[in-house]
Amino acid sequence: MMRFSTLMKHPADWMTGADTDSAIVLTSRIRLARNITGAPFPGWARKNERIAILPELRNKVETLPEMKDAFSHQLSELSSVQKQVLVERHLISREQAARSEGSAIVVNRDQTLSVMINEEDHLRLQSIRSGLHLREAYQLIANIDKQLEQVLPYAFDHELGYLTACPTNVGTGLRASAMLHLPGLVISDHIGQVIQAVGKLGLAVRGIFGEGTESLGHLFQISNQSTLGESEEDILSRLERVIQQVREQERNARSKLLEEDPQMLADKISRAYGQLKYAYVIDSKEALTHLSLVRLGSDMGCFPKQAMELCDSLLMDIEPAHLQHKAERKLAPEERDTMRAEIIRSRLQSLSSPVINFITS
Amino acid sequence: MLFLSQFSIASLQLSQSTINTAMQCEHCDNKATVFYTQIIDGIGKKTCLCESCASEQGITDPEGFLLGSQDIQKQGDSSELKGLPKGVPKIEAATDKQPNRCCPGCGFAFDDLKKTGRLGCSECYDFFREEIKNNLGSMHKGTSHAGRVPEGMLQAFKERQELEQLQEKLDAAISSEDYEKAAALRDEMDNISSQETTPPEPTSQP
Repeated sequence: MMRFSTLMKHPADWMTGADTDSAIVLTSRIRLARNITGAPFPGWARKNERIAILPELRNKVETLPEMKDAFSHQLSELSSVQKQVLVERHLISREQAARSEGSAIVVNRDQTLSVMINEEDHLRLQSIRSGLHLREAYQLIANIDKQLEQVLPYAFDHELGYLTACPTNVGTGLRASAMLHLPGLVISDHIGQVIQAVGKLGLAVRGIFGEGTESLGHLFQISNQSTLGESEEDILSRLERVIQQVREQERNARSKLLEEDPQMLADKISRAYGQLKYAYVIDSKEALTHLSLVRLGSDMGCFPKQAMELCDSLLMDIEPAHLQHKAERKLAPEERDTMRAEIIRSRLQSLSSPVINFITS
Repeated sequence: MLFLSQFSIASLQLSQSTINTAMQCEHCDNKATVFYTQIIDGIGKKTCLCESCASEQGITDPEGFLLGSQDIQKQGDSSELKGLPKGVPKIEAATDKQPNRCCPGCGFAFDDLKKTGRLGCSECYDFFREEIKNNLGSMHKGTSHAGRVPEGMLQAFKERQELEQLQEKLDAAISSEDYEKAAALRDEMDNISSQETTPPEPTSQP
């Protein structure tokens, strides 16, 4: 079985932006909600009922060939920092992090698949890919789903499809989402319009960590809301189309900024670099804002290609739980801000000053 | 009123299940497809029947069994309920409000959905089907599933959809007084239904 330390040492490809085209769409994620018949949903079940059903579910998940040598733990076996690290890596939800006994997480070795057991639903199957690859991610998860449906009595209704704890997921149980980096639209102040337009199409736009969070680092998540009355294919193609359009909008916004106000852009990118490189105390919000601009700069050729990868891994490594895990102890917010600045400074050693070649005069 | 208070929570449910549990009818050896659940004062009893035994027992119309709602009086009384456990009182719609019904599978009351946003178990969907359906329109593109079906349930799912389509055609035929067509449609439906109740060996009869 995979150890927590192994999981930490080897971040998944999608966490470090391995895809060649992840400049704007960082990741694609698919989640399927599944339940079994004859057992109350985890939220309504008594603790002993959750505990009783867990071994069976966990066993079926662990024996999937995809889950060979997986990371598999009950939430009660993990410390609060470890749980938080998994949340920061998008491997478990905040809701599941709040659970303990009777709930488990199984993650495959390359961290592209994770199965939450007894979260809001009995099973939440999730897959993440780098770049805009919703279908690929869906295929991965559908393969697992098809194997599990052979060995578990799924709750399925002829009219309402897959039955889920929350009626907002009923039907396909499918939530597809992509994480987008949209600094161009934010700087040019067009993000509001885009969010509104996407919302009108029945899709949701949220901040980086899903429901109830503000957008940090110009990162947004776009996902489907409707799960009933449409096929998986329809949901995915509609979402994909919209994401492609938003990506196009972001590209346009970037070229317009370059054309209309290159000084402002050069100033923002260079200052962001300077702030990060010379900071001794930096909070999460400030760091994410500057990293976003360095990331943008990398896409505009101010930094070498590797800069984007560096930003993407930093995004994760400077999160509170990741810092505390590295420090091997709880850290007060001020301590975290110091440590965060230290890590960023050291990583940026290898990154030379921005080359601004888009100002002509 | 005193009499009624003894049976303050009485509700009945009839559901057709597509779930692949190989349950047997309690009256014959056919596969049970009709599950009848009754809760009186919190004590639940579940009866599993095949379709033909169910109609023999007078259980034919899911809507006809919402005891505790005013509908029951319109339904008339005994004929629909013959063969069911004795002692089921005729509820004389004692209150204006519907009693707070609880899911026989898990005891979840529909009001809890408003508080938690979540249901208790998969059976809740059957038990509160109409209430849930009324609330789905605003959150989803449609009100019936159009996606993937688990492999083991594909056959049943297709038959079910076929039957529903035929029923629509049948209704149309009847209203246009095309009785010949209606008869043919009815036979076709009977054919599908009989295949459904005797699943394993494919009928090789001409």
